[in-house]
Amino acid sequence: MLQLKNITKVFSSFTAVNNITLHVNTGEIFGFLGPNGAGKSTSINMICGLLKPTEGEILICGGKDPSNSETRKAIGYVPQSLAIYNELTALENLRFFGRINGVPQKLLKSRISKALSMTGLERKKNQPAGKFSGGMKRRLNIGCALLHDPELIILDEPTVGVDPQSRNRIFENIQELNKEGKTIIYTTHYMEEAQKLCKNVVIIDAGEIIALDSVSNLIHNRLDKTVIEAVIGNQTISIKTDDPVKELEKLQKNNKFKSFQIREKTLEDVFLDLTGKKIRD
Amino acid sequence: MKIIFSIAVKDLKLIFRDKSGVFFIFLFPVIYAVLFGGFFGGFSGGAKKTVLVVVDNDKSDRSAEFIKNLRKNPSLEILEKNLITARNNVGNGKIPVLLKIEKNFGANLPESIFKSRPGISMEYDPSKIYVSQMLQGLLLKEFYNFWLLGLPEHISVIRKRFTKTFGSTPLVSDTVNQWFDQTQQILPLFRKHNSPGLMFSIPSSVISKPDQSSPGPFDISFPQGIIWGIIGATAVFAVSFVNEKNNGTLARIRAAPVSLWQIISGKLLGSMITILMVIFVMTFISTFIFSTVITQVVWFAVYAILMSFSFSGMMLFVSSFAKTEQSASGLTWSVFMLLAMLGGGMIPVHFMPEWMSEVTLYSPVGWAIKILEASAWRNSTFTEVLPQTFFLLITGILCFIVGSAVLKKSLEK
Ligand SMILES: Nc1ncnc2c1ncn2[C@@H]1O[C@H](COP(=O)(O)OP(=O)(O)OP(=O)(O)O)[C@@H](O)[C@H]1O
Ligand SMILES: [Mg+2]
Repeated sequence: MLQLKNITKVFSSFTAVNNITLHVNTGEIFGFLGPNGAGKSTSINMICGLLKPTEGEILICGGKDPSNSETRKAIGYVPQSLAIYNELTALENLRFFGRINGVPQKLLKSRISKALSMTGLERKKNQPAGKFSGGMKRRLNIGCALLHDPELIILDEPTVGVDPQSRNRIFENIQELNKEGKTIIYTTHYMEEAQKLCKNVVIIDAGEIIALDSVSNLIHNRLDKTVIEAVIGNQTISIKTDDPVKELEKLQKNNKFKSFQIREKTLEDVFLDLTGKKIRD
Repeated sequence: MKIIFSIAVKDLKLIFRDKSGVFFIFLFPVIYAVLFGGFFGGFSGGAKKTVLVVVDNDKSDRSAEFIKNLRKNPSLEILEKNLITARNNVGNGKIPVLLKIEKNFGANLPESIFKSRPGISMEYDPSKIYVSQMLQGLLLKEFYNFWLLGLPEHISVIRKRFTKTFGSTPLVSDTVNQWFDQTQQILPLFRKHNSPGLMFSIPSSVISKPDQSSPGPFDISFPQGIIWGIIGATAVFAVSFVNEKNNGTLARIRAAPVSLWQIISGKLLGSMITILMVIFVMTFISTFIFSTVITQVVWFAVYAILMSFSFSGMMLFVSSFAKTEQSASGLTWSVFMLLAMLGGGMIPVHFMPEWMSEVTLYSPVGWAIKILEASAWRNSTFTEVLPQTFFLLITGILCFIVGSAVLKKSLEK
């Protein structure tokens, strides 16, 4: 469905994306992970044809170039920012994005009502988007990308600032779309989301791929350590270790922890292990 | 106190971080000051001459001499034309005032002393009434001086005529002679007390081009009102465009299967419709409330469309450079204010110094006012405003091309 071949993007002298090669299979949910500033949005902008790669090639739907506007009919793009018109109502926003995405007039109405029910905005459809809560805006932001029934749906951090209810609703939507056969690229910082949704993920850091594998491979093979969670004072710390017994002895000697548990490894453990703890800028 | 200080420092930082903001705060006032200074004669490049077109219907030695004297006036530039051409020139706004020298001006000159109306009259462009008033004073003085110069001669001419008529009735003849002698004596007083207004007045009237209705004050003010409306609409549009660039909706539109060309054309069309609505509403109001009349409705519509295109092109140009809403709005307003200033939208072109009024020839705002007036009340033909139409169109096209190119480059960089 999607192929990136040696993609590089240089902004004046800064390399935001460096030589990325990967492919996404038709019908899968693919996770695009990485810390802040890793180059996720830059990559996605190139996939959507908004930015030209400095080097490399992007192929969509069997070898088509996304800078060609016809190709983009196959893409539904949900930007990281809330790209909706606050002055327009939900209905008007949906209608506009449906029209410019080439939805035939005959189908527009049914597509809009589908998007409204999916995002749970039917009752508020005649309110201006500017009056929506953060979560409602997020849902509308997603809905606007679905009207033309695209084969490839690209979501750039669709759940930022969303409560658990809305988040679950969004997950359900994504899984539903995936069941209909859509290919989904999902960008997020929340590893539990990726773990829950995605089969394969890529983790990039500072513009480069540091892992490209299935979620289960990453969790079971990549991190050859045990995770201990110990409660020390009022804090819970997680320790990744090759030798849990030795580590626990060490902790006990210092008589520090109140309780501990050995828990299952998560994608987040792998992510932190791979990308380190340093704050990105 | 510390808190107040912190807030103040933060505000100063915010202002100075935005480069365009600094531009508006510091550079723009300088530009304005320089221009206004220039307007008040700060750069003296010699006083500007006022062009006056003279129609000599008398064609006598006297009238020729009068014109010769006028030519000597350093603040006048005299053109001689026939009445039809002169009226066309004034009617189309090329020249502010025409001076008509009536038939028998020379022959009747001696008797002018008994009439307050010398054989000259003025017709002026109603949108340049201030020039006509200035010229009225100036011409009155010129005429008075000319008349004074020949006064002894006038008196002797009249005296001769009287003598011819009343010479045989001694009583009358004596009285008349006495009067003339006295007049001769007070001649120096005439020269000394230079008050031509007490003796003469030059009738002046709004130009009456045969095919031109005579405009009221609102006819003249409403094209300028339209221009300000257009500038406002343009600024609003530029702001909304920059807004879309920044909030991600433009990116979203670009991700749809549409070309940049379609996006820009859509924006342009939106802006054109807004401008046309401004023109329509303004015209509607001025027609139905202020009873102005549009003489060439079809041409007016054509020019309105042309203007909406041209100003939309300029809007695109400005918003392709602006990065923030503030700079978009500031940039649009100041660019157009400048163009309006130089185009005669704020200071009458006539009162600008020479170098500045030259510049007005290159202001789109000036061109726009011109073509609106042409179709609204001047009733000028298309060919008469062809240069303005052409330049407005070219400006629109150039701004559109450059604006689109800059936008394309900045989006795909
Ligand atoms: N137009 C631009 N000009 C210059 N640098 C840019 C531009 N866009 C992005 N960058 C830089 O490229 C890097 C990657 O940015 P990008 O937005 O792709 O990160 P991201 O992975 O999406 O981060 P986040 O998770 O915070 O959204 C950052 O260091 C950013 O500063
Ligand atoms: Mg991002």
